[in-house]
Amino acid sequence: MLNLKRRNFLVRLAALPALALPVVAVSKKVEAVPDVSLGKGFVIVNGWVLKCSDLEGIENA
Amino acid sequence: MSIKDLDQIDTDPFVDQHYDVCICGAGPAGITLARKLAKSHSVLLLEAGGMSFTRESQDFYKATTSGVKYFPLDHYRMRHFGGTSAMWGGVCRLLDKEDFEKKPYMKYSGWPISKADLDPYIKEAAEILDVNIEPDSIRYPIKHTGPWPPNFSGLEETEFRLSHYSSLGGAPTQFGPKYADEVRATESIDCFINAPVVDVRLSERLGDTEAFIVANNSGGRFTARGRVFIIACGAIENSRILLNANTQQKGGIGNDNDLVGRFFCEHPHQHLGEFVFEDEAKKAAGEDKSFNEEINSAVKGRHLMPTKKEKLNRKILGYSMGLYPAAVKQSTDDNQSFKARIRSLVCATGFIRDSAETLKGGTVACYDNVDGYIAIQAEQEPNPESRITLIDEKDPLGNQRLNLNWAFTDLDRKTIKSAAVTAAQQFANSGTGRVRLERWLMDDKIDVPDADSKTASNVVGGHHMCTTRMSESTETGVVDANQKVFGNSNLYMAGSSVFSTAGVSNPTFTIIQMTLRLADHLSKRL
Repeated sequence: MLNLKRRNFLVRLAALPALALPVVAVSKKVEAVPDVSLGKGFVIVNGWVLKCSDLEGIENA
Repeated sequence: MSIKDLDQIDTDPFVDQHYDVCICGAGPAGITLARKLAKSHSVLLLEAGGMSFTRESQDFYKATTSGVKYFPLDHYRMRHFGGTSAMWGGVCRLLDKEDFEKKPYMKYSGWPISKADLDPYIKEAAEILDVNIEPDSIRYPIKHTGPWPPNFSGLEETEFRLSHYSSLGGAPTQFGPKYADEVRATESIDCFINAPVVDVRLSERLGDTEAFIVANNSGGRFTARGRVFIIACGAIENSRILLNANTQQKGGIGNDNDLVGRFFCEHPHQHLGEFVFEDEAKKAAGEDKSFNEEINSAVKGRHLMPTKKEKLNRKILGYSMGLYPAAVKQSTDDNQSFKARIRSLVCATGFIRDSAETLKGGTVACYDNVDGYIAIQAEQEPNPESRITLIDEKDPLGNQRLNLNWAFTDLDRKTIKSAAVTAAQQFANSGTGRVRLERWLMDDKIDVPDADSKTASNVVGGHHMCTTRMSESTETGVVDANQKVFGNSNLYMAGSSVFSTAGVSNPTFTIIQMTLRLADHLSKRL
């Protein structure tokens, strides 16, 4: 799961429904947005546009 | 000289009359024009419906739709004295300077007039609409520092103002209740209700308008003559009237180049997603009155628009991106407690929500655990395939009903997607928070939600524009810079049908500005 202790923000982020998933499901949901580029440094997890650094602390991701 | 009912008269009221001005349509544009011109001219004001809503009258607005699915067309217009002002939301904003300018990547961009041509009418339009708008407050560079209010690169802040008519308890101005008594009391205005214009009579050489043919519901037909004629029935009906006036000109009046009814534009209203604040931004947003409350009649929330430079760089149309507190949606849900509880169950975990969305084939909007949501009002590119045409079915007075084929261009889609993705990037990069984008935004070529879609989007603004667009050339428009129909010496169009492009602003304020300018033009001509 997400590292819930990193910051309060990440605690709230991790509690969001779309992210309250097993790690395996998270890693499968990392998608790109075609056509209009998000650029480097972003991942999309169940629609949430996250910075890659947000995912630090996800074990096995 | 009073408001008369054409269904209740025994003799032809127009037999010995020759008005300076004949106006078809008693909505915001028609009433404004009548009030202005009546100061020095004789005015005939014709309203197709009665003094208030009836189902029978409203049924004349029934129509078919094709293309991008639109809502029923009799839901967004009102056919009675005062017109659609009886149901508008009261949101006002000026068009921006660059809305009038040509853009190399946008087809049919540019107006034959500029913002400076309309600016002299801001004060008077604001009084008519009971709204507080200052010329220099329509948009301004972001001056904030810190994570909230948003300080996003390439975007500026703007405000939308609300019409507050004190006699209606602060509700948006309705032209029926506000101006009926004045119209009744004005000697130089003859106003008739239940008086639809069913045809437009031209001179033999077809270059001049001689009369409106007016019907009543008892089968009567009357000929109303005048010096100048104005059709002011809203962008959909304006084009239907011109297309149906085909007894002397095949294809209708002003339609030599098959342009009447084309270029229909709306303001797509799309829910782009939800957001959560980072901690510091959450604290600041909680103390931000503009975000949480209606201040000085400005719509609550923070509203951002791309700068002119940003639009040119990204080659996109205009849009206004509203950031709103989640409490707005939560309070709506509170009114449907059972539905809200089901929603909470579905939203409890991502897995259930994901499954529910798959089963539904659309979005399940969840606001319980987020801080706000993002919605945009976007401009559309003028598109000749987005159009109104006549269909075989006729209304009870024998005029053909219409079909609206609403269409998007690739530039429309790119603009909406670009707005969403940029917002998500900027939230993250500025330390403001994170955004969840709607599922449909993930597709390669996005399928913008329409009236059939199961999303949180409102889809439309009910803003109908550009169907008799103003242009420098007969090749690309129906009316000239003075709103006069090309090829006709004395027939004018009023209302948002003459917009050359849609811009981003709600259209009513611009409609009134343009109508006041038209009144000035006609006063000089008469």
